[in-house]
Amino acid sequence: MTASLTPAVNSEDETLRSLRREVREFLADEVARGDITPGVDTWLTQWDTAFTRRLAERGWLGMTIPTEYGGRGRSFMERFVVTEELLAAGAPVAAQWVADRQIAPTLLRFGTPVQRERYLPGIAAGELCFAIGMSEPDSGSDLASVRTKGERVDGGWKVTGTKVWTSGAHEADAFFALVRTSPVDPQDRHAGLSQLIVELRQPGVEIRPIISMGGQHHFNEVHLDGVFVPDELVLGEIGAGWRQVTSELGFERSGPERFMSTIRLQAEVVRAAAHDSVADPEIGATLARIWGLHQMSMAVSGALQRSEDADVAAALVKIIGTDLEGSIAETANLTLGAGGSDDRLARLMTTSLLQRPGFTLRGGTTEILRGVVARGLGMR
Amino acid sequence: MSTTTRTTDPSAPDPEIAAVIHQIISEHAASGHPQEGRLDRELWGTLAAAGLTRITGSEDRGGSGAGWPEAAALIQECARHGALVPVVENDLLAGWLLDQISAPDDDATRTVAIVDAAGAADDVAWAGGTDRVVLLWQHDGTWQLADVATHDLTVTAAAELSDAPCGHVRVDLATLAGQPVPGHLLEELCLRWTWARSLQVSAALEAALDSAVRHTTERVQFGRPLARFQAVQHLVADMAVEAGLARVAATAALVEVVRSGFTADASRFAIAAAASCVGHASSTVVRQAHQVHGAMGTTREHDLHLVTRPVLRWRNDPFPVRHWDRVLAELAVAQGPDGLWPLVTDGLAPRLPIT
Repeated sequence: MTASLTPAVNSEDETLRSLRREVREFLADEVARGDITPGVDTWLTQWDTAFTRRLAERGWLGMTIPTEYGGRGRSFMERFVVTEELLAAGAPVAAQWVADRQIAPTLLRFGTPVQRERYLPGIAAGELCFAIGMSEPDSGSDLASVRTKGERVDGGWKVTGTKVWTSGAHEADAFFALVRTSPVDPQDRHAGLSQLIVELRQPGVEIRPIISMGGQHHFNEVHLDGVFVPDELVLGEIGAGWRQVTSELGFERSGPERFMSTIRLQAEVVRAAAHDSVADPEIGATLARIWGLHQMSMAVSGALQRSEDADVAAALVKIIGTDLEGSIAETANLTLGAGGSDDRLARLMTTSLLQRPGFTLRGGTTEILRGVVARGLGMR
Repeated sequence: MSTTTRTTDPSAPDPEIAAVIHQIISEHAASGHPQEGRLDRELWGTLAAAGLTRITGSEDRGGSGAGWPEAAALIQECARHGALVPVVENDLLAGWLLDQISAPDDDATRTVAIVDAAGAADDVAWAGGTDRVVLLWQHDGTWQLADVATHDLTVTAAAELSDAPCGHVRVDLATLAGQPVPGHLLEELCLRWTWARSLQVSAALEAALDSAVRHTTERVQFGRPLARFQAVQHLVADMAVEAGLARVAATAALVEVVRSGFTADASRFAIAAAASCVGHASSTVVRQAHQVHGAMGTTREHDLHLVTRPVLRWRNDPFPVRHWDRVLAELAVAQGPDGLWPLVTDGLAPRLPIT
């Protein structure tokens, strides 16, 4: 039965291995030159447009976008390898993350040729950044309850409502807003939802910061006050928003960022252990688990490549991977304290500990995902 | 599974062989429980007739010459059904060792024991249940091998953690005529052994999960199936997560062995990492499996123990899970902070506690 929950395991061929080496060397040079500083949870917290553009110049952005739209026409597996290497180096990738991970594939799946033409080349060049417009103040885990409203007007939709936890909205160019375009049908709560592409630099859009407990500004509240969205910026079909969002979450949940957020902190744990007379077995157990998650996440990427349904497998990866990256932070803290006067360690430790609560919340809480797995097992 | 997936999946067995294996084992399991503490001779005979008791042995020596995916399919099917047959020990370990020294082949059943200088080996899987035991020991820095009849050894039954025979072996090494074997055979033996155990454990964990899903959807309490309670759904979901990780880890080690054999660095790493992953995953799965089955899952009568108890032995055989954690930790520390991730993607050989 679990056989159907986890996709076939892949092994890397020489093309992927040499791509890995190439990216690894490029990143080592970036670090050696001081152009980037390895961090933790960088895919949410480290926005560096210049770095993102350097990746684009190398051809490591928009990799799965067809060349006709300015992309590289490469495989999901190639993108997976590059993504893992970026995270392993703790590189600052927040500027590209959402656009590259879920906006581009969703545009390719549901977008019109005009929409693809308008956004994909900019994404592939690292010049267009996107945010996610799903959650609302009263709609967290219960996404179907969104209240942001799209009213039919001449030539388009007038959108009013508030989106929240919108990472990077203050720097992003646009987001896909999940909005209610027809009244709630009590028989089918998932009906009547639509996705609209809302460009964020326009009148009627107000972006207010939400400051995280550590004092950083990553999250925002985005108020839409009668913002006009023309018909050509409706994503997919009106009324098909739920199905489209579910598909988008498949891309959002299974990637290596769901187990690698704290890997640079684990590297510091390994560095500190060099002084111990006997190596802590916990370090070995963690290494093995990281390897297992790497295999699992790679298997899901292969399933996405083959257009297989991977929702449940993605949920498995996210449940166990976010638990692992959180445990790394916890064990590091119990072993090394706050990091002391070693600035590098203290910075990685603090960010890991303060970002940790978010690991098992963002992109679907562990509790919601257990429900997804239980449904996959036929229990609900 | 579509044909396209099969061709891209290096862990997939030949479908015809897999179907034969599935039919033999599941039909036999459906016919009732074998007597515990003994080798299931009836099933063994059926497997032997189908050429499955030496499934990986070379064909010129009476084996079936099958590949690792087919061997894995047999090992996992037996584990899933709690079959009392030494398929791992007889074929992958003892049979392979005898192939290496070109010993004459016969129909005897065998297991393997690595004995210490005093002639002792504890908790030897299947010792006492097979016709013969292939013994390995070190003499003057050289490994020696002898294929000995069980009745020429002293075997006392080990604690009864599971139904398969398990014994403490004692032998007077001075009475044995050993044949020297190179140390790398010992290394490969331990790698094969550990690899096969991960396959067994992961299959047993899947069976425990299936049983949990079945039980919670059938058993009604408070007027509804247990599966309708969110607390129960979450227990089972966490089992599925860990069983899924174990499955992927064991399969990844299989894929690596298919690609480059047992002794390549990448295979050694995958086998060690899988042993650790699978071992730790088993803690959650076994624990939660019993929790959701309630008191009836703790009885002799219920089938759950046929898959949960063997796990408690297999995961620590031939080396305890913590051994793998420790050698992987040594490897990580030796590679240093920037070597951590390359270990995950490329692997390096961890130390083995023999040689």
